[in-house]
Amino acid sequence: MSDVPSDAPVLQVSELVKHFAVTRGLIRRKVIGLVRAVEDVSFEIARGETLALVGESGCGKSTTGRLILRLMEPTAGSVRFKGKEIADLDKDALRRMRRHMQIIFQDPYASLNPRMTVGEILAEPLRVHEIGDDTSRAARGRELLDIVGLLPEHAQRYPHQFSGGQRQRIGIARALAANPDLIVCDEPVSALDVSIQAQIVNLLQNLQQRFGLSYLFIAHDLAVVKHISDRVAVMYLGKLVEIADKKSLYDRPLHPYTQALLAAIPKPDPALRTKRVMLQGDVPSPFKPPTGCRFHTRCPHAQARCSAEEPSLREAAPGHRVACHFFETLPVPIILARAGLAKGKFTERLAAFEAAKTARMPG
Amino acid sequence: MDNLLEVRGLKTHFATDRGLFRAVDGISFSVPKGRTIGLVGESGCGKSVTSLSVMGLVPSPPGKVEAEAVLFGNRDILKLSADERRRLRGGKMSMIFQEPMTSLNPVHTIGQQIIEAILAHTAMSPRAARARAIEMLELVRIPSAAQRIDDFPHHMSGGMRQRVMIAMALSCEPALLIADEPTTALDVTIQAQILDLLSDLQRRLGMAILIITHDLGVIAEVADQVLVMYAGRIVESADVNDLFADPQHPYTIGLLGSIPRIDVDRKRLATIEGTVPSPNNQPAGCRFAPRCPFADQRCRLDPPPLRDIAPGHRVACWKAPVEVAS
Repeated sequence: MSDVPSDAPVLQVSELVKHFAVTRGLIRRKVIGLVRAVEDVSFEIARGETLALVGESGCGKSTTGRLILRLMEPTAGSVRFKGKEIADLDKDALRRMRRHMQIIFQDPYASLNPRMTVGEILAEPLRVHEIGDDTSRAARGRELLDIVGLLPEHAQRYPHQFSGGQRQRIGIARALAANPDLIVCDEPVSALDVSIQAQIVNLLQNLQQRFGLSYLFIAHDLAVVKHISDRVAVMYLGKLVEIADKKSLYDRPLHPYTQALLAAIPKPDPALRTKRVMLQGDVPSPFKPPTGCRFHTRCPHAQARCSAEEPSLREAAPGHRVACHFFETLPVPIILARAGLAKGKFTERLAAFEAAKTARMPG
Repeated sequence: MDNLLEVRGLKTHFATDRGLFRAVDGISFSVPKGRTIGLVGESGCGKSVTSLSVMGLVPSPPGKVEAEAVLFGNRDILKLSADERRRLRGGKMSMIFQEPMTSLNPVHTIGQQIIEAILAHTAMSPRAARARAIEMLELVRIPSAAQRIDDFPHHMSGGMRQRVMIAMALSCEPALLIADEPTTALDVTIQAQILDLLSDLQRRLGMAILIITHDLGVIAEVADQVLVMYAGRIVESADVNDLFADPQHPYTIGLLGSIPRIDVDRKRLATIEGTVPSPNNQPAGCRFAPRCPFADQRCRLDPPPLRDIAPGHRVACWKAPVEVAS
């Protein structure tokens, strides 16, 4: 794969589609409809870049992650990893390819085999990909534990002996074992407490710098996403509604759904407490998505055209694409009042906290 | 100010095979009438056990709830009989939980469940109770309530189920609503709807709310006063504006620093090193000392009391108030 120039995207996803058949009947199974979980999703990820895929439950973000790793077969569309089409690979070639693309799951409790020691868990991907012998794999295991901030003696322990944050570190170490290029992070911090979440987010950022990793970061928390990503793609009911670099998306979100998502996040600052415009209603069923723009049933700006005609993903600025008929003429929302924080002593307190911590670091 | 609930020296311990589990270890706080108190902390800090202790829902054995007093409207509710306690619960004091999927009975319609609560606590006729249930569903903004009342829980989305739980909890006009992580399982746009609904209902019905959450964003949105818990104790309590503008306890500072925010650009998140101590093996001095960058010998040996450092601002830290110390 060295014939691919280094500035080529690591991952190119185009027009990816996944439909799940809904069946009825036990003996004669009849397909009564389709759940359109992923519809016509396209994006790419550059080397060393983090693309975040965000949206609410059931928007298809996790399914997209699984289609990329071909843990599920796509209904249509193409996924090219380092220039090579994944759908064309046979079983053996796919397994060889997977060495370079790994996944970290949300639930650090369920994603580690409870009957294996941490050492065995970390050696397994190397064994599967026939890398090294027992001695070198054990050494690699100890090295990985060090990389993710655990101790060499942890290799002899079992997953239940670790806290949630430590288990997520083990999951990350396992993903790193075979030196991947791309890691799909599927809600890697949403099951963790905030102070632990911060440790894992910082770790993921360190590892990216150190090993030049690309991340597809799947999450529902737009605050975490803002912290970790370079670009952000927003999904709603199986479709991309907006994709942009982080700064454009947070400073000037153009799709009404993105605007609503950002407005809905509770800001940890009581000085910013305001009456906000809220989205009404629930996400419609993906079994019967609304006609036209899928968001029109909840959109505060919807017009007649929105229920009749599906908007295409159009370019609003270089690298900023939006699926809305009317984004040019929508009012600019006030999402972030950047007041509040400057006053108060929190900033200096935090600086003192960090300084005291650094002063105590061994070495 | 009139205190609706006053908790003094609450201790809830559990006897386990691995020793005594001190989930809540001597906390005092009060909830004034009509106000919202936020109780914030990470997993295992004892915040949920606190709410269950106040509600009288801690199973005994293995649990044991002790306190100098838990006064609810000037009655010590720990001294009430089981029957009196049950009448209080769901009547004047009610609770909603995190999981709207599991706290509703799947084999009964939502109407039957709300009507059951009303009939248990009032002298209403079944017909009046049904009318009341529909009125409650309308109050929590469930569209076409008169039809939806005969739906089963599985017909409803997570946000709708949480609305049903709120309708049920408020059906007997409680003076105190305890909300234990009421929006944690919900998507962010639905969370915003539920938080807005709770504040609106509070304005209209005048109940006090004790909201338990791990999310400082939720606290900043809804609470008037905040209690920060760590390892079974309250480490800081303050008016919500003071807590965010002038946090004093190192744990509060670290916690605020570790939240990613969309309104502030930070290169790195602050982290609190290490993990929460196990409740059956607490440090002798300040429980945060092993993770605290400011801790010294005194902190490790001597537990600091929760004391006033400014009107309405209490901190359990030997170094507080920070301004005087530095």
